[in-house]
Amino acid sequence: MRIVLALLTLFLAGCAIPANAPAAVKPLLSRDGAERTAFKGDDLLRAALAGAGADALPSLFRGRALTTLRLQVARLTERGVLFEERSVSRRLARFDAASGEAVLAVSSEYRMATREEINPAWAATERQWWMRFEFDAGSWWIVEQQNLPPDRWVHT
Amino acid sequence: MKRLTSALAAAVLAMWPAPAGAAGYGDPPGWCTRYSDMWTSTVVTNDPLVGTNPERNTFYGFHPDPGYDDWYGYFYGDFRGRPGDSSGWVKLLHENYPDHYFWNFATNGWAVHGHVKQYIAYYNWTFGGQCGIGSYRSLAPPPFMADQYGWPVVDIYVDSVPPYDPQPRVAAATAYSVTFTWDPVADRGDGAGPDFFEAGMDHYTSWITTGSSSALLQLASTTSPRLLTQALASNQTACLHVQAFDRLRNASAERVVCGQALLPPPMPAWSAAMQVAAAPSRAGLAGFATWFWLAPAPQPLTVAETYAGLRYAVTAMPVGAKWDFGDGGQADFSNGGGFGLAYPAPSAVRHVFETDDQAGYQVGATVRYDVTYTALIGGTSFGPNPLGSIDLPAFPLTYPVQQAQPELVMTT
Repeated sequence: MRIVLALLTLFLAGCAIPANAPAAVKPLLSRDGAERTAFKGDDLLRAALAGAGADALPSLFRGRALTTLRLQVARLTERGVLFEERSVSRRLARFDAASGEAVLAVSSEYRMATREEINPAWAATERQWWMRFEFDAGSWWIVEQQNLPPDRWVHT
Repeated sequence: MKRLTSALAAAVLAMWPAPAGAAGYGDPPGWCTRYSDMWTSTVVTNDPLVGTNPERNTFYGFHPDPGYDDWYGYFYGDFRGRPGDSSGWVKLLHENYPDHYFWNFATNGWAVHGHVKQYIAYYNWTFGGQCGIGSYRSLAPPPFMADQYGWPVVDIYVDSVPPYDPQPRVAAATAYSVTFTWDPVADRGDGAGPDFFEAGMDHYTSWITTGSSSALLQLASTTSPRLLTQALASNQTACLHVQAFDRLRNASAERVVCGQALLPPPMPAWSAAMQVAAAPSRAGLAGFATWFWLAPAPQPLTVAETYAGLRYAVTAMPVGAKWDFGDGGQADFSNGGGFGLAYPAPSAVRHVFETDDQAGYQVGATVRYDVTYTALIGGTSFGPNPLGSIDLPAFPLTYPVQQAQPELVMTT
């Protein structure tokens, strides 16, 4: 029995984390990385809203962002509504590495096509898309997002 | 019929979600959101008629009983020429099942400038009290039911006004090139008061054309003004074209300014009234130094002239003088000392005549000027650039020189 206890003690001691072991380091998202992730998210969302569906969204979106966007795409699909954008130009209007937040300003022409009006006219628009990133399983994910109303736009 | 559709989860979903009431306008009286999934939307556009209004084609019913609806709208903001306006509940149309109907601002002869908040409802006159407002067959008003299928609340932001026109100008010019630029401009925004909305400046598009060619040179979009230098042959004209765009792609007028490489203007015909003066003034003495100067002292000369359509200022700056004393003696000065100084100041221009000449020596001087030109383009001076040098003669002096005769004078 003593031998078993001794072995158990040795085993537990071997498993214990040394007091001076480094804590898990949270990687810092660079501005370039945030821009790449935001651009990719914008591409995925644009495709989903234009009729591609939500299947590709889990490759970048997680949590509340994914839940909201999936529901949104499903409801638009149910109603036969497509949001289409073209002539897109984008810039990262704000980036905060500490909070992992960014705002992507998107200037484009867009239209909302419905079953009743499949080829509506295009119109110029601007939107600012806020998002929060989280790092998990070796990748950055967009976990929250929303389009900002103009009175909350970032003016740079 | 939308009233009979199952109560959908009231998730607030939108392509461009914004909280209802975010812009300061509260829900209108009699507004009932029951049975609506309350999609909200924010539209940002440069179209005052809001062609992308997501609610424009959503006027239809779902059920043949009773087979019709009356649709109402409530609008806040600047939609009929007044900021801060409020429409009250306005009947938009009567819909008969199963037809679809269209409504947008132009239907009422309206146009949006700045911000408008739009509420769309059907009038629930079959069932009263669905939000505790009114009751069936009572005198109390039944509720205005938020549209169940479309986007019952839409915040609309319209900026249809372009930025201020940029003012291109010539920033520099040489004999071989011209450089253009322009100053930053601001966006102007649309609407007024609480409904003012400005999308903000986005970029400038600028390019250069030369001569009669339609080729766009150095075409680029930039977020700030830039310098564009165009190499030019003589007599060739380059023009800068620039437009300012806001974030909704409202474009200013295309503004143009043209310029040329600087052509050296022809040398003007110069004249200067100077004459040689001497001390002693009436006659000199052989063997003694005479002091000379130019009267008046040479001054810078400036001539304005127009050449090849450009205005120039040409300046001749006196830099030295060459003297000929008439007896074979000469002096060359490469500085202002060569102009001499009027007696009794000690002049640097001195000469000793060795022999007398009752008729007088012809003493002459030529002043050397360095000439430069400055071009005046669009209120800005470019230069000075060298144009060469000139020599202007002073009016000569005939200067007698006498021989001093030593005499022995006896005195008692």
